[in-house]
Amino acid sequence: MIGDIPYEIDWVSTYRFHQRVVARLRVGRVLFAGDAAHSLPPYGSRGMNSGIQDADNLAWKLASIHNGQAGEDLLESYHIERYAAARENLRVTEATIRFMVPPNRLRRWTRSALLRLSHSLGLAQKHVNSGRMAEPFVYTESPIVQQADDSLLGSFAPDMRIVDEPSRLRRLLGHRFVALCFATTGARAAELLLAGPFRVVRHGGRVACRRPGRGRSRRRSGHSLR
Amino acid sequence: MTPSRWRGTAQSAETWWVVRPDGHLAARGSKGEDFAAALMTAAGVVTSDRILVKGTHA
Repeated sequence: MIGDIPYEIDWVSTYRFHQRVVARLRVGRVLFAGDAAHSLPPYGSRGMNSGIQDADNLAWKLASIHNGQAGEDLLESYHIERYAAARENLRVTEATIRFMVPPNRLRRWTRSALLRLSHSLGLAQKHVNSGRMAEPFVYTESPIVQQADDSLLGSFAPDMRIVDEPSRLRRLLGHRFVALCFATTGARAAELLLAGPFRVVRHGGRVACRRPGRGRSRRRSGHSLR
Repeated sequence: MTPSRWRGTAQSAETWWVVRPDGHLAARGSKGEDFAAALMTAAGVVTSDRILVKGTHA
């Protein structure tokens, strides 16, 4: 993997790991997260990241149920969303394992060829799989994510620099539901400011307004954008 | 994902998004009157019979 350069091996050992996921992340009132839910190879920092994302996904749902804003059925979406993420992590790390530990001579030969070519050929570098870094999973199949033809739906909100202040969009998100509105003009943004407790931010000449959402308040949330 | 992806959503018409507490985008739209229902679904308030009881998709 390190290429055609001189090296010396100091220490060799056998390293065993497992990759598996429970059949269900929710069994009645029992919820599985992190290492209790899935065991992953150490490629791409997926074990720690997915554990944190499990907790992030579950925390707000538990809070909503505890506060009486949602029914316990909401927890089913935790299983649907995070089980799909765990399966994807297994798929990605399994591909890395097949590259790192070729199961047969043909794959070993292919890997050696790719490594040789990768020094000079950019296309070959893309196929060198020493671990794909973890990224937030996109919840495309979730029952609480709108099903529409938009690749952003279900994804982690793209970040962006905010003009006029030393902050970024993601710092303004989190902790509660947020309505993010991209106004077409500054005048429209001003209208939204009058309609509710929006905050107006600018990025690259565009205007975005955000306000903390309240899952319990249908009327106020609905009127805020009218 | 880059900021340009946001710009693509905002170029033609006013667009709103529902952002969940975990930072994921749950819904989008352009009509204000659709926002409340989208928020309720994303928050799990519109639950059960139709969506979540059997773990099936809407």
